[in-house]
Amino acid sequence: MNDEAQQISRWRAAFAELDAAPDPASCPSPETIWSAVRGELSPPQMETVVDHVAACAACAEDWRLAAEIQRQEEKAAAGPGKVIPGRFGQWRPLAAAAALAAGLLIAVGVYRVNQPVQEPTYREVQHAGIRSLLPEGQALSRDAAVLRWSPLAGAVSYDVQVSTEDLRTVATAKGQTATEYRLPQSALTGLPAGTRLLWQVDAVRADGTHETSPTFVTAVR
Amino acid sequence: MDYEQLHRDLVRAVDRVCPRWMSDRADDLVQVALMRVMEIQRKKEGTAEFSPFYLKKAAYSAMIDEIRRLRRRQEVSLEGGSDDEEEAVVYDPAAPTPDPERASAGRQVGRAIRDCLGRMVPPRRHAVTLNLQGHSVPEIGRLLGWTTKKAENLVYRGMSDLRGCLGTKGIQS
Repeated sequence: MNDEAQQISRWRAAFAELDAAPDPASCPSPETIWSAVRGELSPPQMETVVDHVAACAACAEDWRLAAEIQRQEEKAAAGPGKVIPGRFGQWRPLAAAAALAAGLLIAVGVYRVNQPVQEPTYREVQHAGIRSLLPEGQALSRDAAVLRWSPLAGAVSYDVQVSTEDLRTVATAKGQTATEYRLPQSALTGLPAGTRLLWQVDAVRADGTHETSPTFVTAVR
Repeated sequence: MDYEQLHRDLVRAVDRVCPRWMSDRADDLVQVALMRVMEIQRKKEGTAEFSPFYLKKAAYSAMIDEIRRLRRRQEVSLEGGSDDEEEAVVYDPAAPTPDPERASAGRQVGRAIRDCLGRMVPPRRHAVTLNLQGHSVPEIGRLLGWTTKKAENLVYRGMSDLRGCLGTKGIQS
């Protein structure tokens, strides 16, 4: 690495050091940063976001995360050793997929417009895999808060993740062999009555593959 | 949607980009983000499937929300005390970067760079900011709607401005 490259590398590292945001309330939304990194904003919008990133170390980090995810996508799309020619060649797989996604969205939109309003159907109808075995609408008692689910054929263990609706982790358990999990009372301390818990089970098969359940919602008394 | 792949991609990104105290929590962060995405999907089920692109964006957004929450908590902890009841389940704030002095010096240079960027004319500022963010010259051109030649010129001049500005602050290259 020559001197200039080393200098830029040092500056990049210093620029990446986290510091307080000048005014966190003015930070662009994650969606805006995501769109900026993908070049989906208009030039004035893009300049506003880049100006903010220039001044805000936290948003600069958010930007780098989005850019890193995009790089991984491009790498995966290009495949090992593949070179895609042309200035915008690297965007072709994404563009094709985006066009496909846009087509699907339009098709779905047309389909939805032509459908009569109906009650949503829930995943129990659609998933042949793991189902919650808790009675629907019944809240859990704090001193006997047990989550139960249907076994999955071939599963050797289950990992369970429980969080509140504002996404605070309440409890996690790994390697459960039973198809139930008793929430520790301490995990429920401080949760107001009626709090809705989101929980999800990840079944692990002997060959190491996983199958993840839908997210179930259960209230606590 | 291949959630396992998405989980791996997001964890890898956090691991590569974020500071140690946060990357140590990458699994939790991503898990929370994916649970939110699954919840969105659950609510929509029976009506429409989201595209993988939309879900990836939603996962990123949920992850950034969580990261911002953690950053705010860290600021509060480092300021010395908080009434936050959640403090007990937060990451360990006593595990900062391995070399605090170096990190502090880095933050000082980082602040100086930001100050210098604020003094630059906008096109150079934009070019240098994206360059410091790790983007190549062609990428900068594409993002800002410039030709590669124009991007190269602005990065070169902007970097020269930055070098001069840092020099006046006693920060030698």
